[in-house]
Amino acid sequence: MNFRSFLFPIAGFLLVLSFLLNLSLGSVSIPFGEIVRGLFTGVWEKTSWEQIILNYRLPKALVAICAGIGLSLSGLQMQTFFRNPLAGPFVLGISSGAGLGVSILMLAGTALGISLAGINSWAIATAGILGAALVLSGVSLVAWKVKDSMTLLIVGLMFGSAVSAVISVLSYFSGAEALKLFTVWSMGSLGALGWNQVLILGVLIGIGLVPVFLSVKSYNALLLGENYARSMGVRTQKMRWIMILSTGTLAGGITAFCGPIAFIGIAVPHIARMIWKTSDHALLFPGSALLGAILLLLCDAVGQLPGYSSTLPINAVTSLVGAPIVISLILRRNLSRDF
Amino acid sequence: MNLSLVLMLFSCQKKESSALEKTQIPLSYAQGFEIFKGDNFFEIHVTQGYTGAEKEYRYLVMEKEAALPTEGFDAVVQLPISSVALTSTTQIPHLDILGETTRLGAFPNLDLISSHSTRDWIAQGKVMDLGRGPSANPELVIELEPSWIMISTLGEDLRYLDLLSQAGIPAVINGEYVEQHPLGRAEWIKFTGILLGKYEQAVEEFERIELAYLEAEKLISQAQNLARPQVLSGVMYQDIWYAPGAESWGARILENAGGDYIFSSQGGTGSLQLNYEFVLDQALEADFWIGSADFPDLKSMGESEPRYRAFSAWKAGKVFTYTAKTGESGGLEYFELGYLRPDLILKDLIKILHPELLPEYELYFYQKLN
Amino acid sequence: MTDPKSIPALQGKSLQLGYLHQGVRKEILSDLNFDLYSGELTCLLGPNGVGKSTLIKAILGQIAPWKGELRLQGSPITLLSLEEMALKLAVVLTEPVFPGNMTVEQLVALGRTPHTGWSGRLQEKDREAVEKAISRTKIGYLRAERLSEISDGQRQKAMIARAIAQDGAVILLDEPTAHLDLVNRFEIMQLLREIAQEEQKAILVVTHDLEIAVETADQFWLMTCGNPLLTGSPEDLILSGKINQLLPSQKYQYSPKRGRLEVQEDIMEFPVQGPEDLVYWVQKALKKAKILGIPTEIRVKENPFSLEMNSRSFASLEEFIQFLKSNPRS
Repeated sequence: MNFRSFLFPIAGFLLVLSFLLNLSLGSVSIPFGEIVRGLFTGVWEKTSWEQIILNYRLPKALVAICAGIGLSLSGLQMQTFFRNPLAGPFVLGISSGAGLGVSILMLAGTALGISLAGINSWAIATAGILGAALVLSGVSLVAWKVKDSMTLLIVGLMFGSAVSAVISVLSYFSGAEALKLFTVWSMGSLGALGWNQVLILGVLIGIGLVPVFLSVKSYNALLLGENYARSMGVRTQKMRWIMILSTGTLAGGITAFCGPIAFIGIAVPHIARMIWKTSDHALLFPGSALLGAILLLLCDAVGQLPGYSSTLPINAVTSLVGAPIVISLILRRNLSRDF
Repeated sequence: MNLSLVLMLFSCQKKESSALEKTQIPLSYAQGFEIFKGDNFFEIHVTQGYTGAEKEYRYLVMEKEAALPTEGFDAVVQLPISSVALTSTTQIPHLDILGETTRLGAFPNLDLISSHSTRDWIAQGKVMDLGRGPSANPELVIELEPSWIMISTLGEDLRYLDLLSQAGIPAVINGEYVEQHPLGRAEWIKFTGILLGKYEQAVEEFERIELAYLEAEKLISQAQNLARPQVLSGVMYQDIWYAPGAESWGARILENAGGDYIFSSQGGTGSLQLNYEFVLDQALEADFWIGSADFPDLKSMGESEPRYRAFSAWKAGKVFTYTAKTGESGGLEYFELGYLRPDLILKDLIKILHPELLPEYELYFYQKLN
Repeated sequence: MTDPKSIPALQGKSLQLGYLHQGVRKEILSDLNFDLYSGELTCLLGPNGVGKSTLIKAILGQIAPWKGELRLQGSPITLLSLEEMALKLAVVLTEPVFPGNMTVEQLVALGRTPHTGWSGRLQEKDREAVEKAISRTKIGYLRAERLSEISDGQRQKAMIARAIAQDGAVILLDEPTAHLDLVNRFEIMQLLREIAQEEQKAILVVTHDLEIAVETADQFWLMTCGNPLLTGSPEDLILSGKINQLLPSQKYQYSPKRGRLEVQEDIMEFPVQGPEDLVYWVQKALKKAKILGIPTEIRVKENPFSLEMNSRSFASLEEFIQFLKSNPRS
């Protein structure tokens, strides 16, 4: 028993703490005691408080946890698989794909006679998932043909660029209203989901996590590269599909429901490696999941600008928080050696 | 050397443009432009072409057969005009009200136009479509050679200003949306009137609208013991609520109509971005919800965003939106005619909030969602 | 040393190997026969581009032979699954992949991957195997060190320990001593020899280090362009002069006397007298300095070293060569 064995209980405690903090902070100040009392007794001092906690903050906090876990674990998988410290959940064009689906719905939809009011979060999520699936199947088709991971990585990035170009063309030709709607989506949002959607997102994350935890051993072997992994009996081709499907479900689902959320996927695995000082995925997977959830809960709490009537978009907050983290990591030590 | 030469040229230009004998005609509400009348010409100075504009644009409108020095003007229009190009639907009613619908020669994305008379004109194939991009296609404009093109700076048309002036096409900037007073926007009809050579008629039309507006306003200001119902406005995208700022045009009309705008403490002339829980806290019990995007009915509104259902106004079915009149190709008449007819908007809102004050009136732009 | 009756751990029979490149078949190796036995350290030597990597890929099962058969412990490699292969064959490759955060012990434990369940959890026998591999390679003192913090030679030993922990009958190492200093090169090869003998492993090392290979290998496989694979003990190959097939031109020769490669220049002997060792190095220094000839006989003496010519005495070769160059006609 050493200090490191306490890391998981500490992280678990911090997760509970940041969950409660997230619940208690917002534009409207609600006393913490009232929140606890309301949650346990169902009696609220003001109906607006009941609405705010039960139908806004609670689902938002749960979405932050789901998204934090999903994005961090997609990032970790990508970084290990491509042995690239800057790989993130979106390198295979997943977020651009989801963006494509959403932009077609919003930007081209108006041209096809779908009114903007008809675009609710269900439609957005469906379009996002379809878009992510479309780009992912394009990338998979390449993965089928290509042996080399580096080529797959580059092809994924190219797919992303091409899709972004299509989105730009769509934006260029779309009306101000639709463009605004799309811009809002691309800023990311954790609080746009109703309970039904939270449930679906939760199921998607659950499905995406199963292959991750079944492949801990293979990911460890992959740390030595695909050739070594194969020599130790790891079917790297199969792993590639597991990685594509898992990150596609996780990152694709999250992006579809919440919009793109930057930096969590890249930064969290590095922080986990630094804290646990290990490259063992049996520790890194749960560690990254916990840290991702904590970080996103805190980012969201900050973004709510407690006491103000406005909110910062979550994608901006994670970028503002994430970029300095990644930069300081790079400055403190050599990332590639620290893998 | 070079610098002083440039400065000299610059100062010469300034002098000549103001050298013409002219008198300013004061405007009642509009802040964004000034008009001057001369012997056989009008001069228009657009001081607020867009939000935060620093450059003043000067236009010279010469009557028939007038020959004046044209240096120093950003655009020179020679009357009479043949055809014109417009870039915003809010400019369309100007032609209609002045009886000059058939002057319209080009417009970007014709489907956006709702006006019946203009649609008839379009149906005759007389209007060129300038494309669906964020700016009117400049090649098509140059090809058409309109007498002038009116540019709205809401789009991206400003960047083609130099190109058009080099091509000899007078491009004038219409900054009506910068005006904060409801009648200020309507007063831009005078701007269009001068450009069409119909200034007097434009003044008449404006005074009619002004009178109607002021009379309606009086109903509220003179009413005894008027209860001001709380009004919520706007819609939510993701979890951000978008609503007009307290000093905006829309919020002003709402206050004039005897409503208590729920976000009146949130300043700003543009659009507000508010946190959902803030809105919920403030507006849960609001009596009315006016201006909620283009939902066809309450049910689809609640389905689209279940959190709308928490508001009393939604529960009580007191949700009104500006979708009563749509053009045959899908445009909303509110967005086209609304700037020119604040009197209709004001009466609509009075009818909604205080129906007893306008018993005979029928809603024009607004309708109740069922 | 080789028991002729035992089954070879790895056997190649009239192998033909090659690639399909843009629809064109490119043959790299043909009619290749070899046997690799347990308890022996075998070194595969050959110039660059002769097809060593192709052979390695075939042994790893990455490319299938066009003709012939490749058997691992009696079973054709093409019929073995990836998991079965991993239980029989471990490798140390040239690619420098080191997750810096991993400890030496974790790296060695990765060798147990083919033996553990889905979670990768080590059982008692896995832990024993890891311990044995660590003590076998004498890296116990490094077990908690991170891979980013140890030297290249130590890391290579850890990789070898990982291969041992994998516990296959065959260990294949591709240039394990490249980039290492002289002492480490000897140490690694010596270690591999011990492991081959004491653990009864069949070890195949691809190397360019002829001199160290001669010192340590039980068997040599010489692969040269256009010739069949030459196999045999290094000593036999040296004595029969076959080792010189490795060398592309007549300019270089393997000297059986000195156990090393030598440049065969126009034979030019300087008249030097003295002990044989000293004469050899004096000759070498003079040749290197491009001295064309010396007028009279020189004598060398040892303890202390001195060199005499025309009754002049020099304490070092450098001094002597300096003198010759400055007095070309003396």
